[in-house]
Amino acid sequence: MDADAVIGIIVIAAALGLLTCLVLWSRRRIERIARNGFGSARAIEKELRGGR
Amino acid sequence: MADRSSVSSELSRELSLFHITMMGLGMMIGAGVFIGIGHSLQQAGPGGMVLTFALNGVIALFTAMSFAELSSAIPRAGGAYNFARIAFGRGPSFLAGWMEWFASSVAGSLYAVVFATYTLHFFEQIGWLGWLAGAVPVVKRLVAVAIAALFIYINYRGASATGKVGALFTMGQMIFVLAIGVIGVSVALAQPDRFQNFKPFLPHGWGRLLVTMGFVYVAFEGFEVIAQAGDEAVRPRSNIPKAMLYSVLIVTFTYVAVSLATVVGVKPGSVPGAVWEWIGRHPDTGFERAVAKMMPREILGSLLVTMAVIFSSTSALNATIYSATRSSYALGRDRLLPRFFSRVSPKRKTPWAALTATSALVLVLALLRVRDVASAASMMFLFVFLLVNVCVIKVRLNMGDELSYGYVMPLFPLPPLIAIACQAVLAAHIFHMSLAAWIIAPLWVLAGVIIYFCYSRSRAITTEDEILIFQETPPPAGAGYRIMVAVANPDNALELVQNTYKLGGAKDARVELLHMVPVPDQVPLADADQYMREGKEGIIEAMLSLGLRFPISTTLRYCRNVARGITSAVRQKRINMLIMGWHGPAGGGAFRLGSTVEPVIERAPCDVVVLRNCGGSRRFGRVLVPLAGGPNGALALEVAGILADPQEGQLVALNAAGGKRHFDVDGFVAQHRHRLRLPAERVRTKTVRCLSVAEAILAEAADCDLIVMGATREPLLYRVAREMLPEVVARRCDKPLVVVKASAGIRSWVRRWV
Repeated sequence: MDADAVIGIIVIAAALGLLTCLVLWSRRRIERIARNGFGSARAIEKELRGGR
Repeated sequence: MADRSSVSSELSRELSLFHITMMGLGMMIGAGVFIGIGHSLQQAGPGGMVLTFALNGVIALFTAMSFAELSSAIPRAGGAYNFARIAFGRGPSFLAGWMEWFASSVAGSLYAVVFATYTLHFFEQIGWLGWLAGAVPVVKRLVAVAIAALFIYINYRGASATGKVGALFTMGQMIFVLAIGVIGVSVALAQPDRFQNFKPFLPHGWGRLLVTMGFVYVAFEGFEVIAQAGDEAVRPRSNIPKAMLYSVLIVTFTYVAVSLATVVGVKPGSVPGAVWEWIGRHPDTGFERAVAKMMPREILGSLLVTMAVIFSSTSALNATIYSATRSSYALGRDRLLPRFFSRVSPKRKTPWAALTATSALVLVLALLRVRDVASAASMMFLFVFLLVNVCVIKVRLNMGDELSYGYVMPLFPLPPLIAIACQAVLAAHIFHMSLAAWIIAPLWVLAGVIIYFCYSRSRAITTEDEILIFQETPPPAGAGYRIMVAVANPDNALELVQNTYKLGGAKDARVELLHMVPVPDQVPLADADQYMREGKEGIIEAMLSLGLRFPISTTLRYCRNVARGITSAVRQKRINMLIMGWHGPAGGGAFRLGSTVEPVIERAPCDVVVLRNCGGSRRFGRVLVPLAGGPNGALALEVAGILADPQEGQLVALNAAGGKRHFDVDGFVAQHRHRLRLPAERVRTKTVRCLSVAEAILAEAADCDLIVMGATREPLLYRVAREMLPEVVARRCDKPLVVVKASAGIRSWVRRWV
């Protein structure tokens, strides 16, 4: 297997992994925001960081 | 207390997370992937093709995150047009709308061209083209124009793309595409030697990826349409962002699987030369050729792919035409373009002028080559999405403290910044695929800039406060029995209300009279009130006069689909009983409950009473209640008791025993005695042995004044090919008929899901 193939497979796997992680992370955020009530971006970020 | 001197208006929220995600998927899996596979194989090789889809998925997700955040914070339908207006003002918003209009139109042209390409290719394979085979390029253009014209006409008629047929097509195309992916992965696992088809992985180097990613980007457009469903979605602040992200994720995995399958599906050595080169030799139809090789009979594979392309391209074509029409309609409505663009047909309620302008674009662009159309579409979407990514940053920085967000993206501002950089680079590299696209797209943008400064800037109107479409009406406070009467026809509104008071009288119910107004997809629900009252004077007058005579509230509810709208109203307002009229010819011909009543009976989470020919003030001397047990039967007994004449009415509970199972009708009536309003001596039971339940009921009905029966609980498959029992009775008997369904009455989860 040549170097391009190895790098390419790693990139594909990383891309799909990144996609999945971002969607799951976002879904958790959406559900937490819905539970705690909608607010400004700053307030939400503060609350999400504080709640971790 | 409701104002009884006017009929209030409201929007119908019918679309669940599943529905809007399917909407996004249906829009995204158009025909871009089928074309993109062949062209990216040709340009970047087998590894490059898979990388193209995977990396484009990441950029698309970053943009989807921007759309999701903005949609959750800016609760108005309009997508990039509204985002740009709020972030930057009128000029950039005009440009966003102007580009969106072109992008959707040229995408529609692409789907028309792909439809023509695949259909003609299949006919050529089976020898149907005959002498036309020598003129395929010309015939292809004619077919593309013809199919586009057909869907323009369908859009003019106002046919809904979000109805059952649209959803089924989306399911069909998803299943097909997923099946290809699964087959490919299975083949690859079973025969690992097929992976040699990936050698060389990147024959033209990594640089070519920028070309193929830009070209194929059109395969990832479609999720942004979900933002337009903001006024129809349930829990929009949460569901709209989720649907956007889910649809990009699902589509990316699907495309990667399908692209992998395309390469490994062809046996090495079974085609001349390397597999990727063989597929890339005919880039427009390469996907079809590869899939055909996977099937035991190639012609079967070709047929399957052609059918899949027909389904996906036609549904995407329909959706892009109405999406493009909405964009130009919005520009006309806000006077950024001449007012002509916002004209709505008084008869069809579709924005015919915007549709005409969109048609001109679609039909002209459908004459171009596939490569040029796809490149132009990709380029314009890259411009639009780039602008949205800029908007999300501007809005967060300048207005982040004032807006109320349902979603804030993680790692802000990295995702939009990366997306902006990538989209700019990809747009530039489209030059290598199509010079025509590189001329057309920037020229269109330049034309927009000129139009804005010469015309729009001085004429734009200040937008009034729009309906806050994310503002769901909270459910009514307080306890108490609630009845909703769905009225379609002003002529029977009075008798429906009179029957309602008979049925609801003892429960001291609050009554709402509801008339559903279906709105074509091309008109945003938020604008419906401006156009849809015309032609409704009769029903509004009837509702107002009833509102003065009875203590009822009256509402016009705008929706895309009447059955879904009624069901969502029932849910939202926590209705205990829904009353509807049901008209149809008694005797002769097939007589179905219809596209509205049947799904409402199936899905409404309350008691449903459907009345046919019952009059308003009639009392019935002899009432027949066919019974087979269950909650529907119990409700039928109760309703029959109410509608029977209180002085002389008699009730006959009939068990038409067809021999399948034993039913103790006496025990059932005794069990539900407390629900009957008639003294015991006026209630009798009867069991009849028969071969046909319908015949037994009809025979008994000859001596009755009214029939009250429960909705069927037959399994779905039984009912697909046969009429329901109430339908048989209604068709063959002209007696007044009531069909009831108790709130827990129908348990066919398959039917509910389908």
